[in-house]
Amino acid sequence: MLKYILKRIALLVPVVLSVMIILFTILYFTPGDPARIVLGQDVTAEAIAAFRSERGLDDPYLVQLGRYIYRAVVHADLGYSYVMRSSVSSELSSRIPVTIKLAFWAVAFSTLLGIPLGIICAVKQYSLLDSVTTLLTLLGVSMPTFWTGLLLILAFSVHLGWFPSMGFSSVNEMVLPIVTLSGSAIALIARITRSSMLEVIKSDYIRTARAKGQKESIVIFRHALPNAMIPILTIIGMQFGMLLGGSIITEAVFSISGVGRLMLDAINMRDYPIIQGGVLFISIAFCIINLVVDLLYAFIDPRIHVR
Amino acid sequence: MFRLHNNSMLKYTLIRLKRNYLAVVGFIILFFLIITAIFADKLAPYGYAEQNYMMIRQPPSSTHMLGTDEFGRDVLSRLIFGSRVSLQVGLIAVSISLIAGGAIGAVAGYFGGRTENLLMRVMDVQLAIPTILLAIVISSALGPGLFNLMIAVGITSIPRFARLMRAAVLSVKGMEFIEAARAMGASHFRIIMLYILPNCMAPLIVQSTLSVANAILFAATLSFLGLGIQPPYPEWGGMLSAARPYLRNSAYLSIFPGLAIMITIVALNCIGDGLRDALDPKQKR
Repeated sequence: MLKYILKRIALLVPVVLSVMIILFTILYFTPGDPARIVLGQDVTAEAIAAFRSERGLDDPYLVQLGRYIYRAVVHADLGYSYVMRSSVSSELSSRIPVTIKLAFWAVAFSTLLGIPLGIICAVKQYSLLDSVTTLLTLLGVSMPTFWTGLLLILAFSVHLGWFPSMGFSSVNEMVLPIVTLSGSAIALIARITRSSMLEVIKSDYIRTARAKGQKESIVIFRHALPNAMIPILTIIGMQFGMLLGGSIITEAVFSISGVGRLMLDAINMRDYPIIQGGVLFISIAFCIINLVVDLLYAFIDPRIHVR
Repeated sequence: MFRLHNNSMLKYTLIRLKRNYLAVVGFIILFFLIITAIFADKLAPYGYAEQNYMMIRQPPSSTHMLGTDEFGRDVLSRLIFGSRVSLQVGLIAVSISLIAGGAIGAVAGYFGGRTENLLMRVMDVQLAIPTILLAIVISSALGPGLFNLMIAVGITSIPRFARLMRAAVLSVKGMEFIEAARAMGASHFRIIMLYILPNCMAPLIVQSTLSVANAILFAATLSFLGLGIQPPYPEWGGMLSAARPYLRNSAYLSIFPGLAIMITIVALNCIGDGLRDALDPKQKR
C-alpha cells in the first residue's frame, strides 16, 4: 500500500511540472511588458532596460522557464509580485487558509445535504419529493454561481438582514458564501447518488436481503450504500477541485480575501507571477485531492486491489 | 442500405425524444432563443446602447417592460441582443473544442501506441488545471473581446472531447468493417472520417449539447469577472456585473439577466439529457 501511495505521489511530479510549463508559456507570450507594469508608463528607457536585465527578462524563453522551475522547486520561490512588491509565496500563504476553509466547508455541506437527498429520491422513486428534488437539482446545475450569490445577498442580507453580504471571518459571514459555492455541487451529488443508488437497489443481492426480512434501513445503509459509494466519491472529489476554482467567483461576489480574490486583482493589474502562483496552487491541490479519492476507493471497495 | 438504416435510427431517436417531456420543452425554449437572436434588431423595442438620461434605473413599466439600467438603457432590449452573444459563444466555442478535441481523440485512438500516449498525457495535464481557472488565465492572456472569449472557453473543454472520441474510436476500431475498409485500401483519413466517425456520433452529440450549456455559463462568468465582452455590447454576465452596485435599490437589474442565463442553461441541459436517453436507451444515467 505504502509503495503504491509513493508511486502515485511520484507520478504527480511530471503533471505539476507540465502545469508550470503551460502556465509560464501562456503568460510569457501574453502581450504587455512587465517592466512597464511595475514602473508605470512615464519612465526612461534606461530604467526599463535596467529593470529588465536585473530581473532577467531579456533572457531567452527557455532560460527564463528553467529559472522559474528551478527556483520554484528548489527554493519554493515563485517570484515576486509586480504590484505588491512582496514574494508570491508569502502572498499566497496568507490567503490559502481562507480559500481552503471555504472549499472544505462547501464540500462538507454539499456532501451532507446531497447524499441524503439522493438516497431519499432513490428510495422513494417517482414520489412527489423525487420530482421536486429532480427539478431543483436541474435548476441547481443551471444557475451561475455568481447569480446564486447575488440572489442570496438580495434575499438574506438586503431584505431579511440575517447575514452580512461580505467577509468570511465569523460564522455568520460564512453562511452565504458556503451556500453559494455549494449550490451546484449539492445538485450534482444528489443526482449521482440517486442514479447510483437506483442501480444498486435493483440488483439481486438487495432483493435477497429484503426477502430474508432484513430491516429496510439496514438494507439501504449497510447493503446498498457502500456499493453505490464509488461514483458518489468520484463526483465529490471532482467537485472539490471545481469548488477550489469556483471559489474565485464566490470570493469576488462576497469580497473574501482568499486566493481567488488575490488572483482576480492580479489579473486586473496584469501581475503575472501572482496569477501563475495562484493557478499552480489550486492545480496542485486538485491533483492531491484526486489522489486521495483514488486511495479512498480501495478502502471503500475491497474488491479494488491495489496494484 | 446505409442510408436507410441511418434514417430509421434518426426516426427512432426522434420518437424517443418526443416522449421526453422535458426535452421537448427544452427544444421549444431553444427554438425561441434562436429566433430571438436572429431577429434581435426587429424584436427589441429599443437599441442596446440607446441611452436615455431621463429614465435612469426605472423599475419595470409599460414603456420599459423589464425596466432601465444605470444609463437609462432598456433592459429587455439588452437581454434580447445579449442572446446573440451567448448563442454565438456557445456554438463557436463548442465547435472549437469539438473539432480540436475530436481530432486529437480520433488520432490517439486510431493510431495508438506512442502517439496515443503523448496526446492523452497532454490532455491529462490540461485536466489538472480546473477548467474555469484555465479559461480565466487564457482570456486574461488573450485580452477581452468576443472572439478571444470563444477561444478561451473552447480550449477548456478540448480534453473532454478528446477522451470521449478516443474511447468511441477504440470501441469500433477492432470491428470487421474497419478491417474490410482497410483491406480495400482506404486511407487512414478516409477510414476515420467515413467509417469510424459515424459510429461515434451519439456520445459526441450529447457531449456537445451539454458543452454548449457549459460554454454559455463560462462566458457569462468571465464577463461577470470583467474578462469577456466589453461594454456597451450587452452580455448577460456583464449585465449582472454592472448591476451589482444597485443590488439594494434596483434589484430587478440583477434578476432578469440571471433568469435569462438560467432558462437557457436549463433548456440545453434538458435537451442534452433527453438526447442521451434517446440515442442510447441502454445506458441509463
